[in-house]
Amino acid sequence: MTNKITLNMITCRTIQQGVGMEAGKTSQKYFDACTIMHMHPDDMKKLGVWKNTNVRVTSSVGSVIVKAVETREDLVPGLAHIPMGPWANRIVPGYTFSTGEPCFKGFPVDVEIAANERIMGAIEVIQDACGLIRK
Amino acid sequence: MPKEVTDVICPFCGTLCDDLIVTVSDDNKTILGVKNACAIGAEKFNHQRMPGRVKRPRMRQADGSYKEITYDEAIDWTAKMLVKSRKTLMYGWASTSCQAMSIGHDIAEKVGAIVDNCATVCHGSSLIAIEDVGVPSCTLGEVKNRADRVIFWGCNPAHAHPRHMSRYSIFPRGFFTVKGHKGRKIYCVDCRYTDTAKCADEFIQIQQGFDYELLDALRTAARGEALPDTVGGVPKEKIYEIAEDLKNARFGVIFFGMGLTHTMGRNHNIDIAINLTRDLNDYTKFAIMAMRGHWNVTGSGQVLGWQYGFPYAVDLSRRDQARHQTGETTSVDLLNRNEVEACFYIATDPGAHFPVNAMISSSRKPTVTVDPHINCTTEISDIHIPVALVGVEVGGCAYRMDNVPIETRKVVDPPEGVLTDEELLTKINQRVDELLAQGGA
Amino acid sequence: MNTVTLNVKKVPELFLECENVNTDAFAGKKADQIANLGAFQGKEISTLGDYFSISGDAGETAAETKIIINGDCTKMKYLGAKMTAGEMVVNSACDMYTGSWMKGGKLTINGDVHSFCGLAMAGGEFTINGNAGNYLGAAYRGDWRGMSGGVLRVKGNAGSDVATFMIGGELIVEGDVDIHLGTHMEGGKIILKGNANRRVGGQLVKGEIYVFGTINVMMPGFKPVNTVELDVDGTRATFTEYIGDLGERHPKRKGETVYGKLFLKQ
Repeated sequence: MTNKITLNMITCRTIQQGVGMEAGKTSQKYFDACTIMHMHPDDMKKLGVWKNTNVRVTSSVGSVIVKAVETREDLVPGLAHIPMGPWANRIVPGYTFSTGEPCFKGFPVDVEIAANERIMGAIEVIQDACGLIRK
Repeated sequence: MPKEVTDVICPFCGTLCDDLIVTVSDDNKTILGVKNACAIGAEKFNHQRMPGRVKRPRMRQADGSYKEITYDEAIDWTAKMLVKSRKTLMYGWASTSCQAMSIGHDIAEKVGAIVDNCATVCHGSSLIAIEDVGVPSCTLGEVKNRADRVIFWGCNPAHAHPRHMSRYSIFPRGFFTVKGHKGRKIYCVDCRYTDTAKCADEFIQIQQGFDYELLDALRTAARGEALPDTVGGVPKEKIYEIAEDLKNARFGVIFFGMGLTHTMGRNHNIDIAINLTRDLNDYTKFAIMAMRGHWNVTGSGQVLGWQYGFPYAVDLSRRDQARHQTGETTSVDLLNRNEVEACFYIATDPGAHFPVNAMISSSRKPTVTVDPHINCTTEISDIHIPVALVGVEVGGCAYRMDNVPIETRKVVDPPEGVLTDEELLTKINQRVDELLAQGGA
Repeated sequence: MNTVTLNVKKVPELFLECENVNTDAFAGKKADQIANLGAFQGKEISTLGDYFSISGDAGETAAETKIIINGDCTKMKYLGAKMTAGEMVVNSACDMYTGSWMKGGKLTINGDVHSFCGLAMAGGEFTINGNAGNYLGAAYRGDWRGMSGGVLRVKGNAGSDVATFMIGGELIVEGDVDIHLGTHMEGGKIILKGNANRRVGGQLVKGEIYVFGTINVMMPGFKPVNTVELDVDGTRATFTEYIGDLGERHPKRKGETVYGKLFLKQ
């Protein structure tokens, strides 16, 4: 049975994400900065995941594979953070409470280990969502 | 001989640093080095010289690949799309100059489109709150020279506005703040111990999504009324202490960011923060300021504001009247509800920063993206039109986060044959005129 | 009273702005004149006749007119907006702004409505026999005056920001509501039969909120002062009376501060 935990997700800017973004959306810097999920060590223990292992994050609108890393800017247990970008937005609910502002911060996600799954590239992840990749 | 261009404006974040020194090659084509900029700003200038830049418009083919087309073909396609569509979303504008925006708005007025800028997924909530309750604000110069209490609420300038703290808010010595950092008391309110919190004198860790309650508690405490034992994980003694300390400030300022605008409650988080500022003005001088993200998103709000009266999400489909209702004319809602027929993106990347369902909806409509580089939006658009980098390869007016206009400078020449935003939009505008004179597409 | 019946014959592709579908716009018009009234889909201007088959003539005035709409109205905005008298029944779910700025008459929706319904309503009787969206009975953006009169009743649930800036009238939600109920409220009465999510009565200045269910998290600026037994909307119950929001500025009357009141059923 796969272990699964539910966390409260926030998506924010990090300076690495900013640098990556300006280096180019297709750059390695951007990929490295945005395909990670910061987790609290307690949550990692609870999930049974080693740091730098791929995980599948699922919300009400979709799921995405990212790499679980230990948080640098301290989180409280139960809170997780993916830097903003196409990967984070694969799971951000679009509901805006009629304010125009989607739920970028504070939505529940399920996290499970997916050590052998591949993380998609920036263009691939959005084209895949839009059904533009021809197989 | 390489030459140095001084006092260059950094086109990355709303802080618009104006002291960059850029070394440029002899032929005015390559940037060799950048001084004084933060990591992100330097990367923006350095990216200019990277190989593999697209220099001609591209059109997506049936097999998913992209074919190079001429600017004229791209302009004609775009103009026809705009004229034909019953309702078009013209989104972006935050990374281009105010001059380009006003041409864009001219087009939008003619074709009955909706003009929206990046505030819609950023500080839109703040703008709603400002519409509702007003805003007592100031300029960053006042913060530097006067502020002795600085609160960072739900923002992380260490990452998003890297030089904000050293230029204006924490470290600089100003006219009345000769002691610099030592003379200021810095608060940071956040749900995680951010790098900004590490620079603060006092970090208040709040439960995620309890900002409204804590701000209400601070207002209640400032009036000396009773409070429950804890609010959002903060003990009441602490809240009384902070409220008292803020009242004793000489000049205080609250900087807020996405921690308030993106979380539960959105605009109400801001309007209660503004009302707290208003309350504190009964005792001392207090101001509040939004930490605007894109370097010229404030400018887009300004241009839209003086032209149509609303700072973002302006619906011009009735031509003679501008309408604005967040939740209806905002980009994410329009795309979620499939209320637009075509999309025109300029100087932004919604593909990377919009929720996925909105972009799925967008990818099924005719789409044109105007952006200097390949990004997540260009690769799901029908047409990608590359342009010169505003603030690097072409100048133009921009507004800093405190609504101060600053003229950005051209540093190097754009690649040969690449149009600027202004030139491109002027040509689209002319083509739209021609089509409308002929009675539609 | 004359009855005009509208049957939807074409569902709009994007949406349809039906500012002309209300008793005031119809008053004094024959069926064919009504069919010539404008309807808007983005920049495309068409007529009501393109989307509805219309039968029956309207009365001389709005008060003598009754409108019945059948068919799929889920993409139609502004139905019954700004009506001042008469009667209107929609047998479908409706989109935004239904019954907004309504001044009088009777509007019944037999289905769900989207956001911004009953916006700044000033009078009349508005009943929603379904669920309502966000900003029900609230103020238009940038306005300090939300619902100011009349009775708005929702049989189902309502979304967030219900009755923001409400200054008068009566709003009854028989189901649950999402966050932010009665924010900035300065008058009037809200009756909630179900449960509320968080932030009930934030920045409440004046007015009364009755909650029969539970509130997830109470705002810190509310203080219990009393226990009272009351008859609310036909139900007698014992309530705890709170005053607040103590963080907000309150007006003074005869030297005494007037607070907003929140009654929570025990």
